[in-house]
Amino acid sequence: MEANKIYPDPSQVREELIQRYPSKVAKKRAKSIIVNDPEIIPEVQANVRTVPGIITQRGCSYAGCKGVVLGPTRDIVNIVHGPIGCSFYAWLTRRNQTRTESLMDANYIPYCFSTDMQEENVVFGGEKKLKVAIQEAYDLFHPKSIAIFSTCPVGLIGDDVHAASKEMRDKFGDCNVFGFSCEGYRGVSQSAGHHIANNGVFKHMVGRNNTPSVGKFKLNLLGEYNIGGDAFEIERIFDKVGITLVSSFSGNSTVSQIENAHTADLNVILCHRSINYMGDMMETKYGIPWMKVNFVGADSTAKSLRKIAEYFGDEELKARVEEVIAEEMPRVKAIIEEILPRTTGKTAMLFVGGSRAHHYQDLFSELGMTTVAAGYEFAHRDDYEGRDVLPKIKVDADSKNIEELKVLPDPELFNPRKTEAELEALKEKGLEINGYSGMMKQMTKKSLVVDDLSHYESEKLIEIYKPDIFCAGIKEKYVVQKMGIPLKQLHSYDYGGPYTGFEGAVNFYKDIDRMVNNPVWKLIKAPWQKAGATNGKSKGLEATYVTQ
Amino acid sequence: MLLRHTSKEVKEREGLTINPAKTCQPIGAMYAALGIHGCLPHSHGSQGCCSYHRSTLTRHYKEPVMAATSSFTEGASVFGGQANLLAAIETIFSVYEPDIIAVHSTCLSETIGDDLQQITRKARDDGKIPEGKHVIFASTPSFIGSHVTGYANMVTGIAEQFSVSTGTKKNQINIIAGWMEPSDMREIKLLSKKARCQDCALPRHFQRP
Repeated sequence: MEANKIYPDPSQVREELIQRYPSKVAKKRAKSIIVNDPEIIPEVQANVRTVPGIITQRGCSYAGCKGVVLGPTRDIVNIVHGPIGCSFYAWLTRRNQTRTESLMDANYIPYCFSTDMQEENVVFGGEKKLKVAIQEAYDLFHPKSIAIFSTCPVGLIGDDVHAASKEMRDKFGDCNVFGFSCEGYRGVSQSAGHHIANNGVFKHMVGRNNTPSVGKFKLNLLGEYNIGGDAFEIERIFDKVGITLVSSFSGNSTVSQIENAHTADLNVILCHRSINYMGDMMETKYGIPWMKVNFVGADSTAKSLRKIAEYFGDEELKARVEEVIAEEMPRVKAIIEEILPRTTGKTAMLFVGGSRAHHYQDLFSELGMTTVAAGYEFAHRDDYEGRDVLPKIKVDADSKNIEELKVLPDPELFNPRKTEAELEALKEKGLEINGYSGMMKQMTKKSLVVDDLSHYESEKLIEIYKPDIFCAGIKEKYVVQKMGIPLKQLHSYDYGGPYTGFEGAVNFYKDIDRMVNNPVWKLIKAPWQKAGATNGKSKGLEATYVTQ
Repeated sequence: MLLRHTSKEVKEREGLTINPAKTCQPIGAMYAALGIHGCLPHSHGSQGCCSYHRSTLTRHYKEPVMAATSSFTEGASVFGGQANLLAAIETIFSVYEPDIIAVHSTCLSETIGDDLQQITRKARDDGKIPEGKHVIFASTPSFIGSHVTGYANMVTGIAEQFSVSTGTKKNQINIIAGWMEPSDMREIKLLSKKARCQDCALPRHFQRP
């Protein structure tokens, strides 16, 4: 007999979440807490300033630029210009793996480079110290590339990292030095940093090497950062199918791959939020279309592979894709069939990232689990509602501060890989060419969508819904687990992974099975289960259990 | 082969710091403030600082680390963070009801010259601090010292802003150590108890032994 939960009316839950806030805050948060309807897709307020003091999950622009997009690059010496902390905290903390061809190849990921700005540098300027640091890095490592990341005080005192980078680049001749103005206060979240990183990589790296890449089906993998080896699994599948991976942005990537990226014939985008700018810019400049895919989930992987084969329109590739799927699926099916009875009917909440909260819903539905509430940390409206809303998004002051590169077709290299008519025909077939339909379309009616979830809201949601698993990051992990709910980290995968592709799906099924069916959680008394813990507040909203 | 690019011979460097064994002041201040019961640390700066400190401390201690932030934007960096901090204080007291908010500065708020003493005084004058609750502060610029300095600065702030002279001697030993792991502090407390000392450990990151 399967136990089922009946939830309170979601609009009531919404009221409950905001009632404690000061009135101005409540008004603002109400617009970010939405009861979903996949048919009409209501508007979600996203990518707006966080309420100070609300205890947010969000980080800063620097984290998005250095941590997320450039962090996984192995042969760039990433120097952080600023006080020591910024570089220290981004040092080996995102679990992006990399695999060099030989043991002696460049890999600077285990290193932390900083200019360790002191008070005198803040007062008299830090450019001199930065140039010395670049010189020292060059002398020690002779890297192909050095990237400079600005932190808050650098922007305030007006150090010109771009000029310093250019000076050193010209001086060295054989080392590409470039800077990023990704000061932490820019924008409203990590998202600003993604955009800044996209601009910098596009401007300073893509297109520097015109050697034609070899292969019949050439593509770039965009927005895959190889957390826990995710990219390795995708590479394995591509290899098997016969797809050539020209470059990856930026998991398991190298400088020369990225510089050669414009010779591919397709860009597939995984994390739409962090890398869609790159897709757009490469399409305009080189004529390479981009397509949204998802390799999280076994069925999603199969679907994505079929889409890629459809794009290239090659019968042989299509047949090979079917062969590989037929080869890989039985193992996945055998495992899910064993696990499914134990996970079916369970519930999940996902509050993470800018695309993971969407992608991982595929894996949970493969496990027979329902996502009752989900939301992103730093996404924009298009990630929730789909790219159709793009023209309707009002550009606010915080977004205006982020540079929009003016990109024109390259006079020599622009070469549309597909004609307009061909692209239209592919779209007809359901391929998300230059498009993304967002998370809400996939979520059930009356599920909750919450952007930039606060700690208070997360506690309330758990108290009301008592989900079987909560997905977020390290900051939330132990708080949630002390409430008796297992938390799966979807930033670092709790030291596990990979979770992409067929192998990854199996890993995820097993991990989730172990977590949601672990009896240890029943031994923990959540605050509301302890006697007299209601704090005088009425019991109010709560999920009730019925047995069928 | 993890650090295979590191050269065998030692080379003096003036500009570049590689693999530091220290981090910045605010994380120390946050850690110190967590050692007072009912105290919520607050990071006055960009969101990233608070997020990074919480992540780092959580990873290290495998325990929840709660802290709030002033969430500076470009506007706040130009016009000053007073409005952000006042709004934060109001939100925190109405939602999370801590007894104390311990505000620490960051390189951003220090560089633009936000005066935490003045802002917290204004918060009190404006009635944003409920009766019996406290907002204390410490100046912890990231470009001076290290996490250890930040810890000391917050502890100094706590001592300065909470101590009241009563004129009577308490016959007590105050144990105010530098940055210390909870287990070490606990051991010192145990030793002190065995020696039958009346003591007060500040801050204290563990439950009574």
